Amino acid sequence: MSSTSAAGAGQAVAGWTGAEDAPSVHLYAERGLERTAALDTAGVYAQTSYHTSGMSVLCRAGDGSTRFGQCSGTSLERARRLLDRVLPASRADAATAALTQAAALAATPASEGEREDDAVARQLLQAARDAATEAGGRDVTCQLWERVRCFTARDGRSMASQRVELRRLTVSVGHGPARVTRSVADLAHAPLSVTAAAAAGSQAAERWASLRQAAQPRSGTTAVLFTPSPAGVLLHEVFGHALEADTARTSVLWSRRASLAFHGALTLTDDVTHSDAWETVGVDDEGTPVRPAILIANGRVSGRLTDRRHAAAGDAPLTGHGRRGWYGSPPEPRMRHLAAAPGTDPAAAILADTRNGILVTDVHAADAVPGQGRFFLRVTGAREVIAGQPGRWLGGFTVRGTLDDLARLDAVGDEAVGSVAICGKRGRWLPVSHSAPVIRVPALSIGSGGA
Amino acid sequence: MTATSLELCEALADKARPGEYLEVFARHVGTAAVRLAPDGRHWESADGWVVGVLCSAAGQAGRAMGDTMDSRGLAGVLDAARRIRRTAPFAVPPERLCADPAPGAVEAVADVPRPPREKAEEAVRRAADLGPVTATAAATHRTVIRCDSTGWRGSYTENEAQLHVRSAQPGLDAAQGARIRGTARELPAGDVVADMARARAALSAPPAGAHTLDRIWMSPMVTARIAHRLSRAFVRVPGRRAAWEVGTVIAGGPQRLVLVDDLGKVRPGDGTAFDDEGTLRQRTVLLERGRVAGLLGSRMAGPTTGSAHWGGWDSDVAPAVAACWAEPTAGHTEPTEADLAGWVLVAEELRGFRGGLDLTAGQVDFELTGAVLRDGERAGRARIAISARMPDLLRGVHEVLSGTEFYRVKGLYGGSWWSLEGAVARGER
Repeated sequence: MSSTSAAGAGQAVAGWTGAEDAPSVHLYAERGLERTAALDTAGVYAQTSYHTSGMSVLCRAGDGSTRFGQCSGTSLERARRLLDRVLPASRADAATAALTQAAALAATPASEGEREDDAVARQLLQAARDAATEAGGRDVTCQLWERVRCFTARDGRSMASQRVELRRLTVSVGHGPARVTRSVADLAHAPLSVTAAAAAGSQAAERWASLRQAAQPRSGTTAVLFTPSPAGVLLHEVFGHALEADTARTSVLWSRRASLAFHGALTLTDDVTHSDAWETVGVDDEGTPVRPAILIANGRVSGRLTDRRHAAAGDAPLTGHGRRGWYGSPPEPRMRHLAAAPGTDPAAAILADTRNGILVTDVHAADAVPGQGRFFLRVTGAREVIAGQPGRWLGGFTVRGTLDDLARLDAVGDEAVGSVAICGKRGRWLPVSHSAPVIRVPALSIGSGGA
Repeated sequence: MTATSLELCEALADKARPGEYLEVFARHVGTAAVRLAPDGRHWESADGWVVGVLCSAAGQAGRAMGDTMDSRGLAGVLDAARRIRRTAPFAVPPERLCADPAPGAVEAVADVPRPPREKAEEAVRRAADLGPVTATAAATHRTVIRCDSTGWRGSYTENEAQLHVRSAQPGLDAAQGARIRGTARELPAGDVVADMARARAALSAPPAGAHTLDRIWMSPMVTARIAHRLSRAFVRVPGRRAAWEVGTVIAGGPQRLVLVDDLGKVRPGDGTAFDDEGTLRQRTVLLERGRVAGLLGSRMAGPTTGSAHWGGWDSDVAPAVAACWAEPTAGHTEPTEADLAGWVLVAEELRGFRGGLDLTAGQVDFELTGAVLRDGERAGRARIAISARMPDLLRGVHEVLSGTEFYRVKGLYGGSWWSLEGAVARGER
C-alpha cells in the first residue's frame, strides 16, 4: 500500500478562523475508488468498480451534544445543502467555503481500468488460481480487492489531507463448511507479487486438503495454542476492542485494569509504523497525527485508543485513532495495526511442552463481549496435540473463554508474524492488520455440536 | 422529483449506442435521527445516492457503481461499465420480468425528513423509572429510480420511521426494544419501552441455579436476528456454488419452521413492486418441512426471485433478503400460562459470532440469556450456550407465535415469540 499526507494550517477562508468556529466543527471530504477483480477455476474473470465521493460535518457542543450530517457528492450545491441542515445559518456560509475547499483537496483517485492495471490484476489472480489448482484445490476463487481513498479533514485551526491505497488478494478453496481462504496484502516491505500470490494459492489448497477429513474435538476444557494469525485475531478481539476508548468505558478489561495481570511478556501496541502494518497513515480520519499507543505493557493494561471526542472528554491522551467506516460515518476509536511483541519461548518448544491440547491454525470468525469479559472463536482448522506432537486435523468447533482464562496465558512465542483482516464494529467495516507470535492458554472451553 | 434526477437518469439511459443496451438504477436515501443519551443529545442526518449502470452489447455486459447524481458523475459510471464490458465481460443477464408499463411513479425525490424527536422524548419519559436509557428515533425516505434504453421507466418512494430504546446501564445494553412503522405517528413508544423493561428485568436478575430446561422461549428481537442469520443460507451468491439447492432436505422428520421472504407482508401494494433489476417482486418460501423450498436469486444469480439489490458487500448487484420472517404455527402473540409450564428460559439476549448464528460448518453456535421461570414464576437469570447442528436446531423449533414485528438487521427481518424444545433446549449433543 502507499499513502501520502499533508497537514498544516491550510489556506484561510474568510469567516472560518477564530475561536468561534475552531475546534467544535469538523469537516471531512473524501473521494475514493473501490475495485475488485475475480477469477475462478472455470476461468471466469469478473470486475466491479465503485466510485465514491462524499462529505460529512460533525459539530460538538460543550455539553457533549453532537450534530452530524453526511451526503454523497462533493459539489458546492451538495455542500451548501449539507451545511444548511447541520449548522445555524450564521455559520453555514463560511463553512460551505471551507468544506468545498476541503473537497477540492481530496484529489480524485486515478481512473480505473487502465490496461496496465488490468494486466497486473490478471497476472496476480492467475498465479494464485493456478497454484491452488496445481496443489489439488477445487472450487478455487481468487479475488483482488483494491481501494484508493483521498480525504481531507479540517477544522478552524488545521487541515490535513491523506491518500491511502490498499490492495489485498484472497484465495478461496472449496465451498460451504470446508472452504479455506488465504489472504495476502500489499505491504510497504512486501509488495504484492506473483510469487506471493502463488504461495497463497498453494497454502490455501494444501490446508483445504488437510481439513477435508477434519474431525470435531470432544467438548470440554483443554490447553489451546494459537498460531500467529489466530493469536492476532484473539488479541485484537479481546484486548484491542476493549481498549478502544468508547468501548473501554464499559469494558471489564478497563474496569479491572488494576487487578488484572497477564503474562509478563505480553505487550500490545497499536502502531502504524510497524513493518507489518497494512494501512500506514500519517494522520487519522480527523486529521490528527497518528501515534503508537501501548495498550498492554508487560502484562498490565496501560492505555487506550482515542479519537478527538474521547480525548476531549478526558478519557485518555489523544492518540490519533479516529477512523471512519466510510465518509458517511462519524469517527470513532478503532485499531489499525495491533502488534504483540514477541516473547522468549520458541514456538517449537511451546508445542513440545504441551502434554495434551489443541493447536488452532485457522479461525473463521471471532467475537468478544467487552462488557462481560468473554470471547468466542469459530475454529475451522486445528491440530490435536498429544504428548507435545501435532496429531489429526480438527475443525468446526468453538473456543470460548474469559479474561480470567487469558490471565493464565503461560507462553508467548519468540517470533511475531503479520496478517491482515477486515474488522467490523457496529456494522462499520475497516481494513486492519496485526502481528502476533504463538501463544498458549492452559485452559479454554471447547464446544462442538457433534461431540 | 427534482425533475433533474429523473432527467439525468433518463438522459444517461438514452446515451445507448447502436446495438447497446443500458440500464440505469439510482436510489436516494434521506435519513434523520435524534438520539437522547446520558452523554447528551445527538442528531444525525444522511443524504446519499447509489447509482448503478449495466451496459450490454454483442452478448457481453459490464456494470459499475457510483454515488453522485450529476451528469459528470453518471458519465463516469457509464464509462466504467463500458470499460468493464470490454475487459471483464459477463454474459448478458436474462431480460427483466416486470410489467409494462412499470408500476408506480413518484413526483419528487423526497427531502431529508425531520427526525421524530418527540417520539424519542416520549420514550425517555416513559422509561423514567428504568434507569438511564438511550432512545433513538429516526425517519427515512428512500426513492428508487430505474430506467433503461428501451424506454422503460419506474420509480417509487418508501417511508419508514424507527424507534429504538436501549438501557444505558453498564452490562444491560442488551435490554432493548424497537419498532418500525410507516410514519412516526404510528410508532408505539409504550410498547417499545415495555419490551426494554421486560428484557431489563430479565437480564438484571440474580443468577438462577442450574436446571434442565423443558423449553426456551425466544423474544421477537432474538428471533429476528436468528431469521437474519438463517436466511443468509438461502441467498444465491453470484459466482459461487450454492451450499444446497431447492429440494435439499436439511432436517428430516417433523419440522415446523417455515421461513418466507415477502416484502408484501410489510408493505402491501405500495408500489415497491420491482427489485433493483426491474424484476417483479414475489413471495418466496425458503424453508418448509425441513426442506429448501426456495433460494433468493437475481438476474445475475438466477433463477431470479425479484430479490436483486444494488450496493451489497461486494459493491455490486446481488440477491438480498427483502423481508424475511417465519410463518406462525399458533394464533396467539405471547406465551400463555400453559406455554410457560415447567422450567423455561425466556431469552432476551442473543450473542454469537458477529452478533448472531454462525453457519460455517452447518452448525449453529450462539448464547441465549434471559429469565428462568418455573411454572411461570421467575427463578433468576441464566445464560445457555447452544452448539448444535442446523437440522437439530430446525427440529427444535416447536412453536412460532403470531404478531410478527419487523426489525432492521441490514434488511428487514421479522421476529415473533418462538419456542425451542427437545434436545436443543436441554443442551444435549
